[in-house]
This record gives sequence, structure tokens and C-alpha cells, in this order.
Amino acid sequence: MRDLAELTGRGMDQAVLFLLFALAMLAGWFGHRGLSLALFGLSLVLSVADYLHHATDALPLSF
Amino acid sequence: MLTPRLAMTLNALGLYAIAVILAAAFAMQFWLHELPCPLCLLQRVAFAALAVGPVLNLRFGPRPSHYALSLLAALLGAGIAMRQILLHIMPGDPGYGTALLGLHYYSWVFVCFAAALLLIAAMLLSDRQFKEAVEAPRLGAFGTTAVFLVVALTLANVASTFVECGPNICPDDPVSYRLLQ
Repeated sequence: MRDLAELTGRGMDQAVLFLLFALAMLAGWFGHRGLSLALFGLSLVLSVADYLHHATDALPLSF
Repeated sequence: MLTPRLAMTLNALGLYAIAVILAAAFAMQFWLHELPCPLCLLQRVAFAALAVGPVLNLRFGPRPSHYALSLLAALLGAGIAMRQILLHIMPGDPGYGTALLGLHYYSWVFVCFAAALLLIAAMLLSDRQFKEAVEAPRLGAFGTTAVFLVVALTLANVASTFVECGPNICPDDPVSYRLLQ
């Protein structure tokens, strides 16, 4: 699965996520509910992908 | 039972709470000179995501689908915060950043998202807010200010993150602003 860092080229992953969620809020505020929902869905998927990119360290847990 | 008007007022209060949390994160970043790590930034991203549902509720009136967006965002944020808690769970681990009132930022974030999940579930218990149609919600200065405060803080995070990381992936343990070097 390609992560957000790859999709945005060299990086800027979190800056892009903040921007997308801000656009989702602004789209909703200016009456574009469908666009807002679409932007939210896209941003959420990219956020999960970015989380998986950064969550690489093994957790210090044993069971 | 919540009327649509009361539900929208509570949604506006939720936006103010998110604004306070995002502002507190900025305060720690600039006053304590603690650069946010990638997981810390993702937790802030989750707070921005949490704000989308209330913004839609204020603009279009309360709908279950708007609360669903907030539930998804709160689950994401709680999951990310829990992972960072587990990264520092071992005895003797100093944690990342300065502890406030005994808890690090990511621990407070988990508490906040857990509280958000409970509060959103409590809001969903009231059907009256959905039965009374709100054709053209009157937002007022209270709601409008809340929306633009959260949007402004989210856009400020765009700028801050770009200054910290530049056009690159943020380092796991940042020590300086890349664009200010």
C-alpha cells in the first residue's frame, strides 16, 4: 500500500492532512456538504495510511 | 431531550474545546520549545478531523451522519494516542515531552478522545434534535466564531508543520525547524 509520503512526493504528509481537513471544514461551511464528506473520507484514509507509515517501532510489550 | 438549537450550541462548545486543545499544543510547542513528533502531529490532525462533524452540524443542522464523522475521528485519535502511550509504557521511560499535571500530551489526548466518544454517544441518545427539521440554521456569532477559530488553528498547523518539516517527511525525533536552519 502506497503511503501518503509517497503520494505527496517527498513528504509534507501531515501538512497535507491538516490542509485537507481544513478544506473539508470550509467546504461544509460554504454549503458544499457532499464535497466536505468526500474530503473527510479521503483525508481519513490518508491519515490511517500516514499513521501506518510512522508506526514502525516495535512496542515494548510482551504477553 | 435536545432541541436542534441546543444541540447546535453544544456542537459550537465542542468546537471551542477543540480550539483550546489545539492552542494548548501550540503553547507547548512555542513556549516550552517542544517540537511535535509525527505521532503528535497526527493526534492534532485527528482533532482537526473531529471538528468537521460539528461544523457540518452548525451549517446544516444536526444529523446522525455528522456525528458518525466525529466518532470515526475520535477512534482514530484515540488509537494513535494509545500507540504513543504504549511506546513509552516501560518503567523508567521518561516519555516524550513535558508532562502536564502528571500526564504527557499524548495521554491527555487519549483522555480527550475517550471523553469525545462518550459525549458524542450521549448526544446521539436524543432523537428530538433530528426530528425537528432545521431548514436554514441561524448560526450567530457564537457558532461562526467557533468555526473560524478551529479553521484558523488548523491552517496555522499547516504552516507550523511545513516550517518544522519542510518539504520532507517529519523526523521521528525532531530537534529543530528545518526551514529555520
